[in-house]
Amino acid sequence: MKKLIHAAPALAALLALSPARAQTPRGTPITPALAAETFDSAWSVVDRTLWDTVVVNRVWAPARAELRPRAERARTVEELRGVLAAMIARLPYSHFEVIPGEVQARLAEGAGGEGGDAGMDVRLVGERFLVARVDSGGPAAAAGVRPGWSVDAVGGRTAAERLALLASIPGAREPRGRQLYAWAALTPALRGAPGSRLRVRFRDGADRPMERVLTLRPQAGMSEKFGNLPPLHVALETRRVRMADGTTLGVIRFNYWFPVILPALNAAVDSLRGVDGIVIDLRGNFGGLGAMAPGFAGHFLDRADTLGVMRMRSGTLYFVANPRRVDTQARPVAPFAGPLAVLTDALTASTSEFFAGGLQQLGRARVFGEPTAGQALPALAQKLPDGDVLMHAIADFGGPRGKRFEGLGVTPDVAAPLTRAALLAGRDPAMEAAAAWIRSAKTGAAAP
Amino acid sequence: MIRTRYGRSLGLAALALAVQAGAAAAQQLPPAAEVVEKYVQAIGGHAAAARFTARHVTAEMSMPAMGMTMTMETWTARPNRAFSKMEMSGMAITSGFDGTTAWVNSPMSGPKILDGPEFKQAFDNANFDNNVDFARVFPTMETIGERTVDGHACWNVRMVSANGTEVQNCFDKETGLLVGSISHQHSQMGEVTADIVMSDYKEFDGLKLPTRMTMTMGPQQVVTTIKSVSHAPVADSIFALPPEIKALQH
Repeated sequence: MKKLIHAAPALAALLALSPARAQTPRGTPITPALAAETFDSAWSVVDRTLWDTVVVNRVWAPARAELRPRAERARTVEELRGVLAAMIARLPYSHFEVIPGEVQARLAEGAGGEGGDAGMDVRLVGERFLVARVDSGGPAAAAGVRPGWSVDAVGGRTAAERLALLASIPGAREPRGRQLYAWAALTPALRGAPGSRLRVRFRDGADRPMERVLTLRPQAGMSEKFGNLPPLHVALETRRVRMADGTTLGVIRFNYWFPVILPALNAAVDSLRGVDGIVIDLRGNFGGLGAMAPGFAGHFLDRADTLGVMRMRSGTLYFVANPRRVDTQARPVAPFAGPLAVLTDALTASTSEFFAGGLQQLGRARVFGEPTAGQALPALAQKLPDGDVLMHAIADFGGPRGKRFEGLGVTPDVAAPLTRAALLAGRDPAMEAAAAWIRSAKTGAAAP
Repeated sequence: MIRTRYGRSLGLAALALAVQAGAAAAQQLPPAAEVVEKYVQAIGGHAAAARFTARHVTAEMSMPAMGMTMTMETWTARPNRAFSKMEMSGMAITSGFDGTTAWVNSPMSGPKILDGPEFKQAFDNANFDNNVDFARVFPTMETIGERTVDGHACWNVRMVSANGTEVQNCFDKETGLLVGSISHQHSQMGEVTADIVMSDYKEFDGLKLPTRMTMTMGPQQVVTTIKSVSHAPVADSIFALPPEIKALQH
């Protein structure tokens, strides 16, 4: 059962700015009794499980005394959410969020437009949304969109207007948080029903205005509903790259740590045995089931070792990674012993930080890219009496050498930030740095 | 001085009374063997407990707080063979004990042969008489007090297996049924206290078993609901080591 304790993905930003929430009807009535019951349920679960008893005594207990009367006076679901949001905002930790019931329902039905996408990913670089990745064969590629183009407007709303939404969000004031919230402000707009058409205004490499109509395609991967979390699209990509000098790289990229990808993830490692080095691309991976991280790390360790330490109020648990000595065909194998690189960015969160930071602290992996989100607490998602869901952290979390990730994130060994010039040139600085390191490990030369 | 002496005398008298009260209470605790015997009679008697050689249980496990549900099946056979399979989100986690080797196989963490405290725990859990004929499983048993579990006053019996595994089982004073259990679960992750409440006893082939178990481990609660119980013979092949575990042995 301990395996079921999971680190929830960094949903807060997405939820705070999601169109599903924006479409929430205002003024849904709630009875005083249900409002009080919901408040008590939310308050109690945190009071019972928050590991930091100092915060419980100094912050949480007074919050109840102050805010419960406001909850009792709430006449609408939205008013109550405001009270709950004010209460959890007093906690100095990530992974606390009230997920509206209707957001759950809309996402579950696919009515929130989550079924299709534009086949591209965006990142905020400086103050511009840039196309960071274009899926080959996807709608953006078909329309001639190129990495490095900036996104000026989607669906009639300009990028500047979307960025302005961030001004009222405290978490968006910090640079990494700003990137996370900016992504959440734009990405849902690039999704919709498969087959629907989306008008997007870009600027190309020469800053010329370009307008494209993208016909959305079904999102790649599999839709996964994990417990009380909203349905999420899980995708995994594996490729083997042969460089000019003959060095071979295996690249594994996925966006969530959920069991649905386990067969493919384990098979991916099997398919890459014999390459000179493996790159795990966790950029944009928000996390998922925490117990998957040590299991996956076992493919790269030749002896059992602690990948992370979880400190709950009721005790301490050690996430031990055991060497994976059997492949998916039940054949004895040795864990992959070659160079292991992990790529990260500001959207690398939670379980992904645990994996990257844990292997980095063990000296088994080298991290390339940008600092991670610093949102790495194990959390549960509890349904509240009014139908909303409270995501709440249950433990502090640190790496094997004691370094915490919460608020700090993982600092890459080699900083390789995304730049517009690199994207326009078709380059990927983090991947190139990782490849150079693997090549140098093979030849024994110093990495450039 | 006088006040102090009187005070001390009163204090000593109170202490003496407390000691006597404690001794009296201790004398009222029924012997563990008696408590356990009442339990065996309550679930159907020794004959009912002894006549089966195998059991197949299907169950549903849920974590209500998280909205997660899993299915579970277990097969056990006398004297100490066990195999279980749990499925969630398309992922099957299996574990077993063939009388010699204890193992677990999860696509999440890979196959593993258990040793140390994990082996001892699996060894004890695989005992077919576990939770039925306690006297055969736990050489050491003592009633250590009373407590209340889920509204039931019960006798709390500390039990220690030959392996040294310790558990506190609480038996309803009135019905004799096992209503609660507290044990320390050992794994590579460390030690976690598992507090289990048993309820909803039903009779299967003349043997009463709890069909609802609510386990609290740290911040989590897991509810297991038994769906079916069969005592038909179980094929030996069920307990055979899977290929992944055999591969680890080589």
